[in-house]
Amino acid sequence: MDEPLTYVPGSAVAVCAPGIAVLLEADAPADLVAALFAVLRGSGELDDVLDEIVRPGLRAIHSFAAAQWSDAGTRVVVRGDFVGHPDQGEDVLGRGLWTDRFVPAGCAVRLDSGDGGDGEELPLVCGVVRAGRIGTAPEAGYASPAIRESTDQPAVVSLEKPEASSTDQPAAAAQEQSDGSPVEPGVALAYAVLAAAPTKELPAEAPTEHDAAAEPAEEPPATPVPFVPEQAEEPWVTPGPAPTLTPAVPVAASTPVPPPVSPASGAMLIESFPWASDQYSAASPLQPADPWSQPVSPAAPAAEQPVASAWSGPDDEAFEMTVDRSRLVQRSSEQTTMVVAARCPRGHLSPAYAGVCRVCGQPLPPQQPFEVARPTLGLLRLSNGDVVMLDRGVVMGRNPRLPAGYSGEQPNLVKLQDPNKDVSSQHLEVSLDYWHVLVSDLGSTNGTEVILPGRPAVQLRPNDPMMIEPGTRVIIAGVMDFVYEVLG
Amino acid sequence: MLNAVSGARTDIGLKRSLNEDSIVAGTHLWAVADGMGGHAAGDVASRLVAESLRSLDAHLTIRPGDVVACLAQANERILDYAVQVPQAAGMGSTVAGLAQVMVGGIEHWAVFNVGDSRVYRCHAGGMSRATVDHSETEELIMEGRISEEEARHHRLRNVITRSIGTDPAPQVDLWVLPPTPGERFLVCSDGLTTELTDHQIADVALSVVDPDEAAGSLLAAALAAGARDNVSVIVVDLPATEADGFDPADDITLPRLKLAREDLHG
Repeated sequence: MDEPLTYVPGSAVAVCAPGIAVLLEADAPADLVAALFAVLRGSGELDDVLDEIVRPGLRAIHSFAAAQWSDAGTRVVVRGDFVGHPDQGEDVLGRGLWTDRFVPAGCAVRLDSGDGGDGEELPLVCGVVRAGRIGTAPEAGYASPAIRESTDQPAVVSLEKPEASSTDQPAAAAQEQSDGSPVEPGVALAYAVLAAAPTKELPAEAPTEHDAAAEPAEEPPATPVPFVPEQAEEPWVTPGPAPTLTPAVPVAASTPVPPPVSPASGAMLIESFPWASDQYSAASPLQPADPWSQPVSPAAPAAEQPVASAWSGPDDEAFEMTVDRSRLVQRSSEQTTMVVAARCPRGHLSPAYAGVCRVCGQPLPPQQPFEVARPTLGLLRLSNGDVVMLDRGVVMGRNPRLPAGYSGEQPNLVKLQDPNKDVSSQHLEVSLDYWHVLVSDLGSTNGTEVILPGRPAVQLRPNDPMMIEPGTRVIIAGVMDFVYEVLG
Repeated sequence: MLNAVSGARTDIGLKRSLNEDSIVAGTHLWAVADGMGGHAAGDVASRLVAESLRSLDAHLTIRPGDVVACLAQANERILDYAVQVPQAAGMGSTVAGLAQVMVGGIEHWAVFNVGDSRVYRCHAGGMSRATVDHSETEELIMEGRISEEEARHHRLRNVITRSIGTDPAPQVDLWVLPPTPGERFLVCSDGLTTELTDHQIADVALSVVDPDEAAGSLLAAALAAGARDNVSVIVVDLPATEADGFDPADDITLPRLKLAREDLHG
């Protein structure tokens, strides 16, 4: 694969080597990240990556995405909330343990954690970075003629003596700095190999560097770019008109792309992004115009024309086009009731404070709760088998009306068939409050009884809501009933 | 089946080159679908939605769940189409409509929507919204940041937050209510509601008795106001007859105890 991967800074952790990338949750354990980086630079095989990820247990990691690019196409593996996004065809979404899909060649694929920003696309040949998205960019994106130029260069800029390398050391090096204290891999290795040129030989030579990458990188914290010209004396630096810059950024840049900042890390060795400065501006006459100096449109992938015009410009047909917001941003947040939820191993949502899943009873694994639009809390099954969904409340009676002064989403109004007029016009209301389902008698003539699972029938007091659980039977006026069930 | 009468119009408007709205005026299901997406994919998307709903209308009895399932199918069809025709990526459609459904053995209305096409309900001299828009501007209105009037001109007015043709499938808002004789529903695309204020719409909807004339008048008003988008409107009436007269005695519920004694003594 000739083109480097590109990523957008974010809070997830991306580990990549040429032709393969893994995207992990923001709180991925450091030892896993280091182990994956070692795998990527070792065999570089997706199966080995998966082996590593499940080593602590099949469900230890809630979400991840991984992809391996080859000439035949791209293999995409997705679990949990991350998404594999090919630029053609359906997104790859995690189902069950994980989804494993092959995307045909000619299709760019991006792995998306859902929490990337609108930042610039940065190239990354091999390394560990804090990213929101990583992958291959669509055709219209970031490939540049300079890449092909630089394929002439023999390998990789490496930051240490060639003979010092071995496949064992990288893992070890990832663990310690020159002073022996453990290094957070995300930091130590993040900028080590931005410098690598995107040649086909790269995978084979990947192990040859970065071991002591931490060391030179540490030295001048004020100049974050590790491949400082002074080190160009090293024999592995490719001869060429601008030895310090040519191997630097795979995508043409006359300005070498500086290492990414790991925002969450306290042990940061990088202090700032120098790309705003002129310090490293073009020295080589061979460098073509730097495509990276053009601001990258932050809003949306280049392919989406309607998006660009929907956000700018005066009235014209493009501006008038309707777009679905989910195409503009990764998340849609509506003005619906939000709840704090946790997910069970089967993917059901439950209150974060619950110990077991409200749908299937499975114990909820420890996890970071998240806010989500309240899911449908279940349904009411009427005597004749018909169901009323509990995505909103319900008022039932012979002639149900909206209660006076009602504000908020309109509840379903279900008219009950009762020729004997035992049921009152406005008999009862089932309402939703956060995660709870409540039933309330609206002052009916013949009353409402509630039978919670395993408990005796209780007569409701008028206008005094009672919380009900799945399996509860509610008897209306003694003549008809319904059962509250959760969605399986 | 309820004896509803309706009138429907759909028009390309004055500025567009294609009508990407589709309408369904069935025997017990009415809907408007407003398609979006480049390369005329919006036209395909709204037609896929309309076709799905038309097949549903062919069933004699439908339940609220059937409407949701039908829209889920339409969603899949749109996704499949977009996979096969890559230029159609991003295609989708809104939908808003009204269906007669059975709940608990009694006919009810199901008012449903995904996106910013709307259903209004007129009754007893007043008109109110029967659906909530799934749009950026609706969120701003709910947050109190802009007014309804501002929303109609807002630069984000074309950004909707749910549409048919997404993965995962969108949540369909579906509201069940019992039929009320004498009520009227309007189902329309945002081509109408962007040109006319709710007051202007109500003026026509509450005064023109014949539903077909009402639909025509509403379209004419939208055209007169500029019709920058495709305009679709369906008017559905549930006529009131003497037989439907509301009997206050209906409100009285007899205590069961009393009834039992009467039963015993014939």
